[in-house]
Amino acid sequence: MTAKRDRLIGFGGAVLVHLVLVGLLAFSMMKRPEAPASPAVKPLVQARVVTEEAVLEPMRRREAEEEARQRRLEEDQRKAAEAKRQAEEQKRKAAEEQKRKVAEKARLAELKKKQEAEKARLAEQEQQRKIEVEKQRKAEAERKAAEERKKAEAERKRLEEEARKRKETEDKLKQAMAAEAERLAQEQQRYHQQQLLSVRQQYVADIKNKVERSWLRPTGSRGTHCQVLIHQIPGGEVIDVRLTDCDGDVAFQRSVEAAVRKASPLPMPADPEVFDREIEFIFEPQSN
Amino acid sequence: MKKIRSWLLIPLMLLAVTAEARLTIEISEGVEGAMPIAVVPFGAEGGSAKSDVAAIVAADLARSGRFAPLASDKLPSRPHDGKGIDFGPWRAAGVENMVVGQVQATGDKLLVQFQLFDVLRGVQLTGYSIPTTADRLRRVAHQISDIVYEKLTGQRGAFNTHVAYVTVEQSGPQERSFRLAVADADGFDEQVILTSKHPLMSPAWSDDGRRLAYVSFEEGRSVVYVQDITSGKREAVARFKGLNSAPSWAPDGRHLAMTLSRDGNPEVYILDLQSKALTRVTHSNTIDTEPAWAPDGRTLVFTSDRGGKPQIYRVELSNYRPQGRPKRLTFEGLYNARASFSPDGSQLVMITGDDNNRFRIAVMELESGTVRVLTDSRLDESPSFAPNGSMIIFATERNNRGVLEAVSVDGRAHQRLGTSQGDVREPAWSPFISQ
Repeated sequence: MTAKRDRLIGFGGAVLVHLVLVGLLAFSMMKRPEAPASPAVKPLVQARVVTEEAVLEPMRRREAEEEARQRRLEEDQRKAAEAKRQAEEQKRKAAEEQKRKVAEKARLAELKKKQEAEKARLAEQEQQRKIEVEKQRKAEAERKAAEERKKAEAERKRLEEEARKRKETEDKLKQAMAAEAERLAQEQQRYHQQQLLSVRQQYVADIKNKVERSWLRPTGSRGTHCQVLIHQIPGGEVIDVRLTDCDGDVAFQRSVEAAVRKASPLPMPADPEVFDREIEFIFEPQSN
Repeated sequence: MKKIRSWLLIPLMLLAVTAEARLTIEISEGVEGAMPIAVVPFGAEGGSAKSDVAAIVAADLARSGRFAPLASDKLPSRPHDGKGIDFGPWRAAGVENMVVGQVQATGDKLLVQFQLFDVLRGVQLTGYSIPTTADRLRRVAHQISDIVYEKLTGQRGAFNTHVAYVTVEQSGPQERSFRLAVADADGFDEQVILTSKHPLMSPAWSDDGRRLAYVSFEEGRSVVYVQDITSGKREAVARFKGLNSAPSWAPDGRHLAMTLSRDGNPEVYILDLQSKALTRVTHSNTIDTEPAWAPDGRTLVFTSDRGGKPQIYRVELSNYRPQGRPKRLTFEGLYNARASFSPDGSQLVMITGDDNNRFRIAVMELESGTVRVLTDSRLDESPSFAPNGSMIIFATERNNRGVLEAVSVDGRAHQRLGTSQGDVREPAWSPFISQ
């Protein structure tokens, strides 16, 4: 901090010295053409001494005169000096003005130059900027173009992918449809089988029901198992009954045959496909 | 892969169906009941028959509990022979079998013809022409019942058999009349074997059905007689001091088991009818009585109150001599007495008494010991099996009068028998008659 202030004082001092020197130079330059003024014009008589009174009076008067003359002279001198000073001042001022004007001019010129430079710089800058902008624009355009290309590429790819996917989906769909069709066919087959099965089950249940309703287990009979093979004709009429494997007594066996015969005509199935000419019955009374 | 599988699947399923092609149906439920049958009134040619053969046959079959004859007013028609029968209406009437027949009279002689048809198949199962006379028409009817019964059940019929029993009538102010009678198994055609003013008791059939053993008090004390039914000849076989009672024929027809108190206390003895040798079977200081033979002749059951109350005991025999100690058979009921074997020896029928003083017919399965009470009366007595084992005859009290009743072995069929007047007691079902 101190060093900085010292530097500033130094700097100020230098400036002052310069200014004084410049001033002196300027003054000397302006004064040179003129003869030296006041100090050397009239040398003063100082060594004259006269009697006091006699001498003093005239002397005083002279002195006064002198003094007045001196004073006038001095005044004149002062006035001349003043005028001179004023002229000098004026001159200085003019010079200063001139100088100022020059300086101003210079400054203006400088300014102008600066302005020019600035302008040029600005122009340059502008140019640069324009170039830059152009560059940027170009870059941007390029970027955009690249982007565009990229986009286009992506789009193309996307479309391709889409197409591929669509195709894939379509293929899959086709496959699925084929599979579905196949499944449906199977399902139908199975359904048909199931239907047949359920028709069959119903058929069996109907026959079972009718035979059981027809089965009169004779009181006092004995038997635990009887297998009967029957033949029926379409319409359910039982045309043949054969006991194939039968335990129990006559009454039991007869009751079994009677049951299937009484149940004739046997119920018919809902689907003729299920009809069977041959049916085996297994009679197994639950409690015996 | 999928396709292959699906193509495999279908033939497999078809295979599964074809493999199962023959329908097999299991039948487990059936209504238990009597077989519906139609017995069409027989036609009469050359004069009206004395007995309605069809009615007797229908009643016989119904009494067995195994047949349900169609009421005569429900018969769709009344054919007398099998020619041109339309079985449809009979089938529609729910009938499984039908009997048609006729009685032709030529002078004193009768010719009974009958046919048994399987209505469902529409075929004749059997048919007979039986020459007879008017006084034997009932018997012929029972024979027809036997034939029908055997054809349809496989079991020998026991309709053409007899029942022996004792009737008691108040014949005067201070006088009672006892009669030993034999009737058809349906209680009809009663023939009195013996009449007495003193009690007659405990008729027992010999295995050939020709002789009866019984107890008579005609001498003022109990004596065991054996009497030939057809000739009427009789013989006192046990006239020992004290009680002579409860005769029972051994299957060989040569031994009688009976209860005697000749040694002071009622005990069971076996009497050899030829040698008159007497073998004592029981030894106890309580009452042992009512012996009955197993069909194989190797066992006797009897009633004894050695356990405090009357219960059934069994004693093994070897050469008509007791082997080992009697074993108690009955443990259910406060009182069990008057046991006799079923013809196949697998069951005992007896009187079982409960704590309400009800005495009812019960059947015990000897193998399992299961006891089945068959009746719901108050005072049943003297049960005996029909020779085919299907029915049990017994006496019971209805309106303060002893009557004969029969119950099927499963307890389902239960019928009053006969037309006898007075008190009927102590029935005994005869063996099969070989005539």
